[in-house]
Amino acid sequence: MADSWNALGSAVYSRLAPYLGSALFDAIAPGAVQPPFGVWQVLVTDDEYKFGSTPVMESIDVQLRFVSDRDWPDRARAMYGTAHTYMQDAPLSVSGYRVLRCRRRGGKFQYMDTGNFWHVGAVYQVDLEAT
Amino acid sequence: MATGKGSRVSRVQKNTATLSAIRKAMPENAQALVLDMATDMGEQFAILAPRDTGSMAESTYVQAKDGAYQDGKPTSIGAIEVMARALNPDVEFTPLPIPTNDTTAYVAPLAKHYEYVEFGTRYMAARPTMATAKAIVRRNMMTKHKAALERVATDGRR
Repeated sequence: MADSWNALGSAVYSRLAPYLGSALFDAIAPGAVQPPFGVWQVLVTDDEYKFGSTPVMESIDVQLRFVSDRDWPDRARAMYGTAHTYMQDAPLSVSGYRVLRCRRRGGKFQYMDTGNFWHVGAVYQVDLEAT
Repeated sequence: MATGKGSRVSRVQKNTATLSAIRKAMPENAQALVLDMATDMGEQFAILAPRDTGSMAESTYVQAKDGAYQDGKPTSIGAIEVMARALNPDVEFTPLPIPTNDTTAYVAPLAKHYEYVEFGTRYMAARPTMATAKAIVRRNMMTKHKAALERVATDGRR
């Protein structure tokens, strides 16, 4: 399970960094990093087994979220919009797995947190088949 | 159709009465299934949710087109607000939208800080409790919700 998460994280980073820069972090950005930046985080995984003890398929919900400190959410929205273009049905290259699907599955959100940072993002379902 | 000496005449007759009854009852049965699953999701969330005052977990409700529900029973936003404020006087609220059809239901806590917990903030990673609840309900489809599912496809009774 941990292997698929790390492999998926590398794949997402490789896919998005050319368009959004290197400010994309796993789960949380370091405190010293200035917005805007992106965060990707595994939320939950559903495993499917055949006869062995290793899952043959993993369906992983991944959150992609972009954070901005502007007064309005436009920058976070723009970053998310770019990310969505490259994440929807993305041909991700996940080491050790074949990607069956990478698609937004609802859960689009926009909010301002108590520190006045805008967050814009969505949840993607990535289905992986072990190779 | 007759095919010769000793052949048997057989006829296939469609009985659409049962199918029509099932189709007629389907919206109501589908609505019951949606409410069933939404209630389950709310319950799973309340079990898993992080707790301090409990105002987030305890303010979880289901918003259907015909009203709000908690633990499968009709309630009101006002009643949930009173209960949540008793746990946390500083809690703020964000009501769910009202669905436009009978086969949609929304599930979430009324407490506004739910979105910070579920999706994260600048300095806090997401704590995806509703995502986990959704996965559990998905897994429960063919066990806990099997009866309601079967009713949609087979039950023409009202």
